[in-house]
Amino acid sequence: MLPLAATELAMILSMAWSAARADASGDPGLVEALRRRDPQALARLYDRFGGVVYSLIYRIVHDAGIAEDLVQETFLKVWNQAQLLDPARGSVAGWLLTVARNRAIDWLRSAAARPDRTAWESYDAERPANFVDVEEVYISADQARRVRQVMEKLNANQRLVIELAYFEGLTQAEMAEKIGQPLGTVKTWVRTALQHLRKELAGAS
Amino acid sequence: MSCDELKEYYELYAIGVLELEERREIEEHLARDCALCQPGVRRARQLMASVALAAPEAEPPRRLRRRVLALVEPAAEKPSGVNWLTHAWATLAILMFVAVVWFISAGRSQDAQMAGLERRLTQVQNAHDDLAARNRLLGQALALVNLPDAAQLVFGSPDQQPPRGRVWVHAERGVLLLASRLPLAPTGKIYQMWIVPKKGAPIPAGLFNSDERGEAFHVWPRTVDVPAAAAVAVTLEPEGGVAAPTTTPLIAASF
Repeated sequence: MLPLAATELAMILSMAWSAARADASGDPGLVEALRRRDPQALARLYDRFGGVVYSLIYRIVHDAGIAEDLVQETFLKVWNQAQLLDPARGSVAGWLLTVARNRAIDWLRSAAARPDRTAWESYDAERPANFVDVEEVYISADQARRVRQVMEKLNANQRLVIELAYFEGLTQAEMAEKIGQPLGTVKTWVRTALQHLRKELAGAS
Repeated sequence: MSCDELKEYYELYAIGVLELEERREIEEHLARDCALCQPGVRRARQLMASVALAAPEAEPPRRLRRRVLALVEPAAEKPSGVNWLTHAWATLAILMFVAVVWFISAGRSQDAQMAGLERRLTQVQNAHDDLAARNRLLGQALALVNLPDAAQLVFGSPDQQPPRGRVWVHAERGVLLLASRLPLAPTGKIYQMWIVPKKGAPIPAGLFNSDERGEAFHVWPRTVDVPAAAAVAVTLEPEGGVAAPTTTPLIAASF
């Protein structure tokens, strides 16, 4: 094989570095690489989503050490089941965030000795097939700002019930008991809050 | 319940906080492939996944990346015959050292002395681990250099700025890079090697640093698609490495 001329090498490097920039933003081929069990794909997945997964878990468990363990469990689960995700139609971010939240809520429930979901229910909610034919969850600093702005537009009661459901895993009956409000009132707050989220966030990804 | 009534519950179902009665209703609809509830629940899952972004940003510790990636690191290769023997002698030496430490400490009960000996033992163990790792790397490097079908690439020349060196690439045994005049990476930075394909983004090929004399030695013992490769490059990147290069190459050796 003849060595490349300096100009050819410069051109190839320039093209490769451009391709790298495109991959870093959209990362096509990441799911395929995960399915091939390419260890570098896990690094790419972590570099892209590690921050948001850690932030979500830390928000739920409020303990850095526990959060680290749960992040590790989350990525291990995704690594072990990635071959079940459809590279053309699946939302890897949606799946990853769901697995992360479930890990953290399960830990919270066991730490608080609250009745846990059965193993089957947890497993069922995390099936990669659940994240097929949905738009990818778009993760960026702008999108995070937008989601926070939408949450801030909720009134205090609506925001409280969404946070109790999402970050503490409480059912409406558990919320009613925790905040000392009638179940009917809590259901109204939840319903109006979800209507607002659907309107503001649906399709935003 | 009708689909119209159930659609109020899709999001609560998606995040697993729906009461049993409504949950069973939705599951019945999903089980019969309900044309409204199936896509409705899917959209709800996606919507609620995006609520995760409302969590305040928290910075994960740097070690967490290493912990996660360690989950899939290939197992260390079994030592070859010579390495095994070296390993065995080193282990025996450590055991003898432990025995001597034990006899000495049995005779002298001073805590300070014992702590000093324990520190020394740890140093010896660390040195042994370093040597074993270095030995393994050298074995891989020697094997690569001696393969007749390994491609040998050269970078740098007397009329160019440093660094200079050579790269050996073998389809099955991986890549060996030897460089000189490569300064020690600044604090918080590391050198990262890349396999640059003829088409597409560079493929990460491990992290390394130079020594005080400006000499670097890096082995990437993985398979390489040699016909598709155009060059091997090195960039300076943040400690821990990156998925895609963020700086221009300091080293570029073409095939």
